[in-house]
Amino acid sequence: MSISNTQTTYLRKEGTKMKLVFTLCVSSILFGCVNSTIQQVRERETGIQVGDSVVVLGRSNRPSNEETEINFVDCVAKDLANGNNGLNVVSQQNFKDQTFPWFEPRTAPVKVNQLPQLLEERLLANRLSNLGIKYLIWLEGKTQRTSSNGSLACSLSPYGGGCFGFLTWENDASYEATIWDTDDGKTVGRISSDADGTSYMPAIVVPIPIIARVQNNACTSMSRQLRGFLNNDAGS
Amino acid sequence: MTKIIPWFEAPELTQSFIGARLTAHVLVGLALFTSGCSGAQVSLENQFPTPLLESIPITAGVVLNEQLLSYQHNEEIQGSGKFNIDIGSAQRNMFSRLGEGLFREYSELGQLTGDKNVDAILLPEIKQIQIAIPRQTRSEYFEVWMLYRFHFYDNDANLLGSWDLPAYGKANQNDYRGDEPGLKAAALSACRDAMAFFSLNFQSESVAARWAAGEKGTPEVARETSKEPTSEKAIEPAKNPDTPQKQKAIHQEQPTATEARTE
Repeated sequence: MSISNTQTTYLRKEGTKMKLVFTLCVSSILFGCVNSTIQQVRERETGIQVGDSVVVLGRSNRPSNEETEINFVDCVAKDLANGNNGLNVVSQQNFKDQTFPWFEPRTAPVKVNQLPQLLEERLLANRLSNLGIKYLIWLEGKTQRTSSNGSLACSLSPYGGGCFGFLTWENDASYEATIWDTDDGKTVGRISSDADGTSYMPAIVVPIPIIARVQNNACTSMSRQLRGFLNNDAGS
Repeated sequence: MTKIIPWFEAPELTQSFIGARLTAHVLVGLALFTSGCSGAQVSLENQFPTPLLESIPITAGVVLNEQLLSYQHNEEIQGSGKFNIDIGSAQRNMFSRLGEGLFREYSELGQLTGDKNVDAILLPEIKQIQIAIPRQTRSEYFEVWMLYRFHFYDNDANLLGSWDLPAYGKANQNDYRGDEPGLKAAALSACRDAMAFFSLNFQSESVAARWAAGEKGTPEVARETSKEPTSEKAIEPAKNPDTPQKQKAIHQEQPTATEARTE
């Protein structure tokens, strides 16, 4: 019995659908629940014109002990650049190299009222203009493990190995973005993104991690809100 | 003639083969497990950015001697192994970028001698480096403290004065996998910090401003200062590298200048 090309294509499509459904089922089982909250304060009108770009910078000023994780900054920058109405985003490292030494931890402006004076530097102002930087987005905050419980033991012998136990931990992500307009040197708004979730790892021979993607959730919410805010979308 | 016996046909070989394989796996596992505690070897052959500043209208000669270019920091941290940072490998790129950005013309000199092709001579020196890893400080950060001393000479190699410049860099352990990339990021951050602070404060530092204005040093001062080049605020190396308080002392130290007065 032979199978026609149409049938083969149909079976392939069905197979792909099944794989997708299976992946979604496994993902929904293996990812823990995350609660997220987003808040926004708008101080001025915003808008992105053709040729405008933004840069997402992690706060790392001295002598502060806290630094925003590089992967969170990269995640927000990547999400802002992706999609149909993606923005022009200059990467943090490229921006810092292009504007060196003005945005290093010891030299970067901490308050928005320092920005107009900084923009009086002719070479820096020209460089920002060449890069088309309209908004500077400063990210502050971090993801922390707030609690953890349970125990897990693993053993290995010549006849095999395995783990037994149950672990649970809770992560809390709290970030705030402050948006500066480089044209008038003023803050245009603030967006905060908080997320928390509990991850589990039961182990009967094989450990099965059920991870709450707290930081990823905070990143997605933050970038979605930022994009709406900068484009001045209704409701943002 | 050697006869090759497949392992599944030779039970006596199979036993030893499994044993050998298990031993190998255990050894590899142990090696991987202990590698996390065996220190790190860090090399900083990186590119640095050119400072975006109005250049100072002088032709500067920067002495990059062997002592600076081969500077290595070695430290053994109890329970964490030996750490080696080849900081010298970053110096040529660092100072050539600084020279290009900061001065109208810049040339590299191999040693300190009078040179009429340049207006003034700068000799950078690394006085001290200290490191801290998250396991020591119970923080999330790899940290590097550096203390540079810049000696300012006229083009006859007479000293005008020196400027101590502390620099600091840190890197979050959550952003890097392992000690080596974490420590490298912290050391690079410290180098960038030194470059940034040097370039932004150069004009406001008295001895540097006099040097850039073409002031001459005197041979007497040069001899005196070179005999005892340390300033009163220079920091002695920490005897116990595990003491974070001592390390923090460098970070909090403000840049100081040791000036030699000309007559």
